Amino acid sequence: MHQRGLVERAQRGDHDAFAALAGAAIARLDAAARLILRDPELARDAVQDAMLRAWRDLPTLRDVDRFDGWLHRLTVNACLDQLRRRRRRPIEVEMTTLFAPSTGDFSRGVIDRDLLDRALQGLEPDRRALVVLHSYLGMPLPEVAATLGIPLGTAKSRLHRTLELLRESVAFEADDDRQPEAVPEGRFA
Amino acid sequence: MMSTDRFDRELGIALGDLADPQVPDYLTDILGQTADLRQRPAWASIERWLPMEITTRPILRPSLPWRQLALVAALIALVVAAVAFYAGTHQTRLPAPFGPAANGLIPFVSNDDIYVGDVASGQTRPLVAGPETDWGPVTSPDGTRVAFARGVAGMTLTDMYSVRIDGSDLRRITPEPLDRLEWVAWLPSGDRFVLVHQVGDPVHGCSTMDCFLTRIDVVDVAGGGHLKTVASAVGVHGVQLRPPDGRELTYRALVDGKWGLFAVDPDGGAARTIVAPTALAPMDFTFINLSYSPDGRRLFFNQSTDDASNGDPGCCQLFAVDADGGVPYKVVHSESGVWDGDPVVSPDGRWVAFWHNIPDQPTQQVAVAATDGTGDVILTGPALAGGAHWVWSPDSTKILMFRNDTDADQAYLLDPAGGPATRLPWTSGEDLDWQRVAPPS
Repeated sequence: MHQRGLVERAQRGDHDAFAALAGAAIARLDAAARLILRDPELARDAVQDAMLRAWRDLPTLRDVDRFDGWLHRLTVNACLDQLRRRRRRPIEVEMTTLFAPSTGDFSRGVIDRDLLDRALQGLEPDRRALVVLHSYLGMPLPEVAATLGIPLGTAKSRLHRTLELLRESVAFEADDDRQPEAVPEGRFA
Repeated sequence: MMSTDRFDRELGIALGDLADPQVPDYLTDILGQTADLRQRPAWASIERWLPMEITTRPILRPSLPWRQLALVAALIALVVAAVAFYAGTHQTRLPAPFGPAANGLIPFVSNDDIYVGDVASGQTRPLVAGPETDWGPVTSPDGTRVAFARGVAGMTLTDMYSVRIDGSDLRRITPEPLDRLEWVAWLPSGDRFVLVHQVGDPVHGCSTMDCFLTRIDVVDVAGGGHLKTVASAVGVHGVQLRPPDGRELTYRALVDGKWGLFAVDPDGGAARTIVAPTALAPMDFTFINLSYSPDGRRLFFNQSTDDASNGDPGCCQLFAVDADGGVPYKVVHSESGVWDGDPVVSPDGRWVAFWHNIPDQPTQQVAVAATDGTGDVILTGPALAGGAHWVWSPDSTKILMFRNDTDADQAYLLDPAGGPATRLPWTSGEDLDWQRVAPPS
């Protein structure tokens, strides 16, 4: 069935329709949450929160064609909530041993995944959320801004800076033959 | 080095590879939880709905930095609080059931208990506390009592209770727990209560949201009585009591696949049709979120439209109709493509607060317009990425709004004139209501 039909059925309380929607979306949401949170357990909690909220609030979703964007927004907000809860605890500097970097084959335009992983690790979580929303989930920038609660201009400038940082970081690491160091979170804050 | 544009193009693919999206094994757990969870009613926007809370409710915290206040200021605040609570709990005069009144206490939910809070002082106190799960406080029209829902049998059924605003005289309203209780309302006399609940299986062939037979029952608040069914219909979305005396219960229903507006008196007699069931609607946005003008002459509601120039066909425009019957008409003439809806009329009858949703905008806002449709539409409060619901203060000077798009669990006080919004000085669940008290003589 077309997604619109499933959403309308789920809005009417059809749990089977919701299960179909959730099954289609959850891999993408789980991946996005893991990219943002860098922790599978936290990601699981965030996606679970988002899904429960989605089911509960689905009847109030006015525009069924915005279901995907709405679900993405719920998930990212749940991720940010997870991070806020973590921040209430004593500050911990998380040291992560990274993979040995492999050399990116830039001639073919492919970003080395290990280097990207390392670069993402060094970003502040809200910057990771920005990148994941825009580049992975494909959310339009105005919607990204609304989701993160920042002005559109701020979102634009932060995204530009973050992409520049990632690009330079990946390139730098690719040209750098040193062994990896443990990188504390927030390195690029 | 890769160019920025090229990097940007490749990044999405690389992120996908990095995350390696797969269906996680916890999907089954999630679906098990959602299967046991009630959905929020689609019409959850005004004061008579019964929300289900699923999130952990925050511990109450005093909003005022008492420790930092000077002793004299604290004493003054305590005196103000005491006066406010005394005024709220020991009314010597009672307000009329409809129309303007003075602002009393705000009932709210925290940690599954019912509290009341005073906006002026920021003080709160528990009204009903205990191991039970309580939610959905609704004050009586005269402001003397608070009705609330209590989950029973593992939250699968619901009882309604009432308690005096001072916390005394707890009484069970429902003779027995109800399944799928959807809406409640006090009758203006304060001695009877309206219960709207779904019964039976989904109606075969119904293609709209609420495809259940719904019963509208009335019961004595004193308890011990029996439910008296005054109407049964498909697709009821709650009821509104018609001012100025509550002589009619107004509801929408689906008849032969078409929406209509109907009314019946609280004893089940004098049933009549306000708008004949002629409205076809592929989606459920017709005749919902009913709100009366305080004189009872006009009824505002959400309406679907097939007119694409007024927005996407099917949803959502702000309409009104003569409560004695007539042709619905559009109240606010927004620019093309805008959605307006979920109206709530102010107690003084001058204003209506509603959604204002501009196409392709990621956020929406609460808007205020004159009930006669003249003048400007005033946007107020924060931009909202998701839903919200709201009630007017009894004196019509504020709008109490709870936003659904965050986990902040905090309500806002909006300025109907578009001024800055403030937050309530306490955290609470999403239930909203505001006690009516008699204006100073």
